[in-house]
Amino acid sequence: MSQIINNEYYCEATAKISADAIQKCIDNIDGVKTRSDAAIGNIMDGLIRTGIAMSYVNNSRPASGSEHHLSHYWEMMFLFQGKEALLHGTKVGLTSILAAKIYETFVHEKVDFDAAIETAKI
Amino acid sequence: MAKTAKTTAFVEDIMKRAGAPLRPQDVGVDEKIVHNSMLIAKEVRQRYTILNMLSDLGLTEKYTAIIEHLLNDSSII
Repeated sequence: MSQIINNEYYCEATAKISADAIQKCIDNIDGVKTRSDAAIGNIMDGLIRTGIAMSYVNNSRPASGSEHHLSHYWEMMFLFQGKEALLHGTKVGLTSILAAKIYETFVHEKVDFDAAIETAKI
Repeated sequence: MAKTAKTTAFVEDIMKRAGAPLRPQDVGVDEKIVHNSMLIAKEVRQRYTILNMLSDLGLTEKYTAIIEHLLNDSSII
């Protein structure tokens, strides 16, 4: 999206590293509940591979998008309120559901560009 | 986006099978925090995301309501 709008650098190969790492975790997701060696291995493998992917492009886009930004805000609020922290993965898992909902809905959005441009001019 | 983005149902299914919570309120993240996060999260990092897109198009409030509806509708899970 940012590549199209902002001409931001996009690396196909790095994106594939992330996509493959995720797919591996999804393929054995049922093992997570039981903490199977395979499932834990896939998660660790995914974390390392996306970490390497981040080092390739020098930013965290391979592992972090809007779902992480929402999660960061929740985390900050918990800190300000002195509430005991939730696990990072717990938060990001929840915000991923929200992000999916946003994308799913946005795909069908009929944008009133004229109105948007007018509002942006203010 | 239409081709590559996973559906909400898909992500929820993955989370459910992993034994993870499906709603912020289940782990003590209240409505107010979620509401505000939809408005403010785009300022947390400089990176352009769908949250910026929504804001640029004047759609933040509409989508905040959509998310709040999702969280309040227990029939969806």
